[in-house]
Amino acid sequence: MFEYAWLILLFPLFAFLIVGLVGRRLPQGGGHVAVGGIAASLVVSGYLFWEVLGQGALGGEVHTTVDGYVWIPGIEGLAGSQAIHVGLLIDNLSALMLLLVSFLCLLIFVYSLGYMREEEGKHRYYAEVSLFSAGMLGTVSADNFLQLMVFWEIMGLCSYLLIGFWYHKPEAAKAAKKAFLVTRVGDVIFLVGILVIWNTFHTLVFDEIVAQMADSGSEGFAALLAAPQLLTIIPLLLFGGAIGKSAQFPLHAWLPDAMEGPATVSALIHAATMVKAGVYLTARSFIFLVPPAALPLEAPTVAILVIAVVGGFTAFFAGTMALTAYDIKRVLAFSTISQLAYMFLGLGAGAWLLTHGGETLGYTAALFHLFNHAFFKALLFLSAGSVIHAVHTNDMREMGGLARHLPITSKVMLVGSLALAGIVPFSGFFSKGEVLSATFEAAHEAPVFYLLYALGVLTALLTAFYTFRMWLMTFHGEYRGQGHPHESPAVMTAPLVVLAGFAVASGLLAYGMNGFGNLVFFGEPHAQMPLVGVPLAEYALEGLTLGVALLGIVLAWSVYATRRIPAERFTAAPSGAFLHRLLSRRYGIDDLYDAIGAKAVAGLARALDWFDRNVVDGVVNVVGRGGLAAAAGTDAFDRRVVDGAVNALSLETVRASWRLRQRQTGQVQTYAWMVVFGIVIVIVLVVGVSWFLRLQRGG
Amino acid sequence: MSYLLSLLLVIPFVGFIVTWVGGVNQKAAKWLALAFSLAATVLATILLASFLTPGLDFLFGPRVAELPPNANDGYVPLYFVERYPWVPQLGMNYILGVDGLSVPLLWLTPFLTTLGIVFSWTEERRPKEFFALLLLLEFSLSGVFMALDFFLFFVFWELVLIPMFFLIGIWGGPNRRYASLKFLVYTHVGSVIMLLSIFGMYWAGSAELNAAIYGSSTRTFDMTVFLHGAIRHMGPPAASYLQIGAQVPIFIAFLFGFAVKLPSVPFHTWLPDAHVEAPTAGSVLLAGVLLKMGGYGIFRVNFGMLPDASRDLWWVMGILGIVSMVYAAFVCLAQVDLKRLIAYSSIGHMGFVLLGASSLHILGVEGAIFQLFNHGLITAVLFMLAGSVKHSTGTRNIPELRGLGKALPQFSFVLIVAFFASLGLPGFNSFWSEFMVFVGSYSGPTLEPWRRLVIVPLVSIVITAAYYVYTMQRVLFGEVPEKYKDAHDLPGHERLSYAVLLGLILAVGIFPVWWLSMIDEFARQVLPWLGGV
Repeated sequence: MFEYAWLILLFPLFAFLIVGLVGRRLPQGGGHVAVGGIAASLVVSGYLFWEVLGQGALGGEVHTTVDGYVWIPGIEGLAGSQAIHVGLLIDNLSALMLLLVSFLCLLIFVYSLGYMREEEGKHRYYAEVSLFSAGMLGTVSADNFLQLMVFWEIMGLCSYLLIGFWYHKPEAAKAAKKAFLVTRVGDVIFLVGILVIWNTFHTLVFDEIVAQMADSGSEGFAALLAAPQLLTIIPLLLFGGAIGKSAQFPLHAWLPDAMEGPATVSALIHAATMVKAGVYLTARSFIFLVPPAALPLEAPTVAILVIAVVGGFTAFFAGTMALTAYDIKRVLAFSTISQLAYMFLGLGAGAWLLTHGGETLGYTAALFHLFNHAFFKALLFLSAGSVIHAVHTNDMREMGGLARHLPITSKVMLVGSLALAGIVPFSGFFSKGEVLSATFEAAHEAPVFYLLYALGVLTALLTAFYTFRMWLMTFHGEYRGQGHPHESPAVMTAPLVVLAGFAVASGLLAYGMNGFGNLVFFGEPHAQMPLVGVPLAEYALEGLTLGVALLGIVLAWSVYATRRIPAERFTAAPSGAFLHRLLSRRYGIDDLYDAIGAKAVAGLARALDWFDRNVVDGVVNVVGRGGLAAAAGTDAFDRRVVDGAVNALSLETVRASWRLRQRQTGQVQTYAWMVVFGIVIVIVLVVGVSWFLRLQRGG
Repeated sequence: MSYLLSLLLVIPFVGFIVTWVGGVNQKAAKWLALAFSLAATVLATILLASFLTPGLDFLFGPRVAELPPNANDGYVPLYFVERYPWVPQLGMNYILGVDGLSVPLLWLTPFLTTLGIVFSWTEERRPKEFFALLLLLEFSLSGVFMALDFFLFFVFWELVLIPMFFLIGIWGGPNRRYASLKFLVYTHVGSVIMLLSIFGMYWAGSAELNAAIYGSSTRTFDMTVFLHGAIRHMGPPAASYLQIGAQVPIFIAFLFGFAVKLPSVPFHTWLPDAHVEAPTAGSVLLAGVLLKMGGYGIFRVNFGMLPDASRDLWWVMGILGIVSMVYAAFVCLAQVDLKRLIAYSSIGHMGFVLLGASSLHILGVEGAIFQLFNHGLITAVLFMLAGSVKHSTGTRNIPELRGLGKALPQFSFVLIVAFFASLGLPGFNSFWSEFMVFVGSYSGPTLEPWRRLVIVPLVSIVITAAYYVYTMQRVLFGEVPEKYKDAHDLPGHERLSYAVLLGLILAVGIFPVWWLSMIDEFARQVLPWLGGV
């Protein structure tokens, strides 16, 4: 009944084809076609969302698949085996994601019309972002793991091409390479996960897997009982892919460098959509993290804890690195890593709660944060783009006082900053608060969550501080750069204003739907409005988070606005200077990766190349030379002995013909010797191996 | 009896003679060669279509498998079979036939030859001989994929060497003498070993099998005797067949011959030299089709006729495959000559074929067969690119190339697409074959304790991505150096070749099931003893 959902993917795909083929000749490099394509997608996904809501209503669940076509035929006679196909899964989560993604893509594409106006090669840009949006829409609507991976990799390709959009810049080339290779490591782990899933269930379709896990007569059920550790291994492998795509520790290093691409790319791919795919994948892997009750196995506690710990740690770890960045987009990149980590923390806590008899709070909170973050982080990146557009630099040390020159940008960016810092009633407050509440609740059974909660609260402090450091360095004080910055055109500011509206309202939407958990949930709906009817302790927790956020803003204000606490005092102290250096160097992790990549791998490659040229080929050449020497010997024998005998016969004609033949066959003899030599070696090998095998078989 | 397959031999052979005789100038030579090659391509496409869809049956009749006597005991379905006695006293026959294993490769042969001719449209050096030899190569390669008589098979197998030897030796680069000789001698050693095992099969059991299947107790080189015999041996009830003691040495000798051709590490060193020196069209056919003879042989002979040994010796193929994949990927990373890099990448990608074979799992084997076809398409583009860049800039040396993204946008577009296709990005054809090889290897019945070793070749995926992306960083990105400011982008005939190949790569990548259903039919019917069925 949802067959028309294919259109959501096909519109941007057509836009990609049109722009790719004839975009060069279209006005604006085919930008209008790209906008039109995604706008059509938005209309269809809006209708889909409305239908899903209409059918399931709030608190109900829609769960339907739409068939596509077969990729790899199924294996006849193999239990549970199904063709690997492409198909759409339409449920609450995917309908919401489709709407969210197409809406953000539309806003960012419109903004691009202004931002990219002066660029050469715009048609490349619009073709690639259109393909990208098709990739993201396909990822969030896939009904099986392989399809998810296919679209996931298409996004990776577009991310690579768009980071390297300004291909004359060497840094862009390096950043694109790094992004592709680091995520590729994650993708390989993801691929192993898919192999294990296929081998266990002989299918990759989400629904089939759930059905098998609940059906005691099925192949997958038996396989899981025989090897219960699979339940831990599978989600961990999938999480490996998520780590790479969502830039979590230790595969986080690519995202800050990815800022070499245009600001719109950072907003679209590296904030609002693609980096969320890892969170989405982890949300989908709840089918393993929270196995059905019919499966008599322990929940995979280890996997859940790994997800939560990686999330909690990365949130804090990335937050610290944002403190010292001077590149306005890098601050936002570190912040993105940190906020994504909150989502993983929320998912980890949520899985823990669900498997320990709790409710669906954490899962909901994580997706709520994903939803809110998409708006305010896209807003922040686009605002940063507007600033960069005006001052032609990313370095905040050359900004300052821009509030006067960029009145709209400064205000919408303030809204975005307040949302990111988590100030009530901006959207970040609600979802971040819920993530932390879920973490705190999970701590009742597993004290490690207390530590993660503390890290989360600390991160909230850091977040508020670096966000306002960024805002103040950019907009407050005196302008430190050159030229006369101007506000961006309306085609850029209009999307900013729309996004600012969502940064205020998207959190409050939860009230409108009687709690976000009524819309997207795992298992039972969670009809709980934020801050309504909760125990008093909950208010205390929310108050604490809000308090540290306000403290962070006050600190930033006194360091960067009033300068009552000069930053120099901190960096002058040896320990402070060390810390500053450590953070600026990103804890040396990038250097370590460069060393592994450039020294170890490249060194091994050179060593093997030498080995190949000198040893493997050397043997071949020695054999060849041996053959030649043998041939020379035969030749001598031929001349002196055979030919001598002929000479003795003194038959001129015979002699002449022998000479002739000898000259002609000189090389063939070489070949012949080599051939004989080769045959001897191989016969020895064949006899040897056969003998060895016979020994093995004991016969 | 159909004559379709014979036509596929006659056309290129007549074309070879006509081009050689009638190619009075460059223009005549290339148009003649193109006409004959195109005719063969059309015919091969009709053949292919009959395997993909039944809609074209009216041309040559419906596709009907040749039935041996007592077909109920089991038989291998072979289509469009032609049989004529050749030297009956020695059991040599002219037998041609195809199935889902050979058709994709058989189709690739005239197809890539045609594109190679189009790509070499401006070849000025001895054009008559050049284009004629390409047709001779097409003739002999087609013969390899159709021959169902061991002796005929061997004749074609050896005949392939001759045009290739001259293509490298006459139209090659500076070091062509060394490269062509090495190519000839090395692969010839492989062939001779193979000949020994052909004789082994001829003496060891062909007479008994011939009696059991066709009721004639003379020795024979007829491959169908062994194919039918093997499948009757594997399916219940097990008919008697070559003893395992005979199968193992024959298997190893064949595998050696095929591993040299494929090539597999450590028998690969002829390949980079041959490629670096070969002209572009030669490289395209060398990597696109000639290497596939090795993979074809493994599935036709080792799997099709020596099933017991295949089941015992999977680990030999597995080790060779894994070593090839990882070793070649690392060596690629250190290359500075673009063509040498592509040559080593071929070795790595052929490692997938051996790994897939070693899985003894239906998905792995299908993936390996699919990989033969996919690699043929992609590597053709890659070697053409190496030719284009040399043509445009005068060098293939990666450190000297820079900023081509701006200087040669069309070339760069093709390069990006081809590199991502080759590194197995989803949406391109080789993703599917590589994925299936991995699924098969992980799920293969024999691999139970070794399953986790699949991690080792997975390393090669990352390294493969690394060498391609690193090459793109150096070649495409950066400012345009002065000397490339006026470099010309792709000429029309090259664009045409690329467009056709890239279109096909994407079509197969988006709809892999078209090709897989043909391969799936073969694997299920001919290798029913594989795991996972």
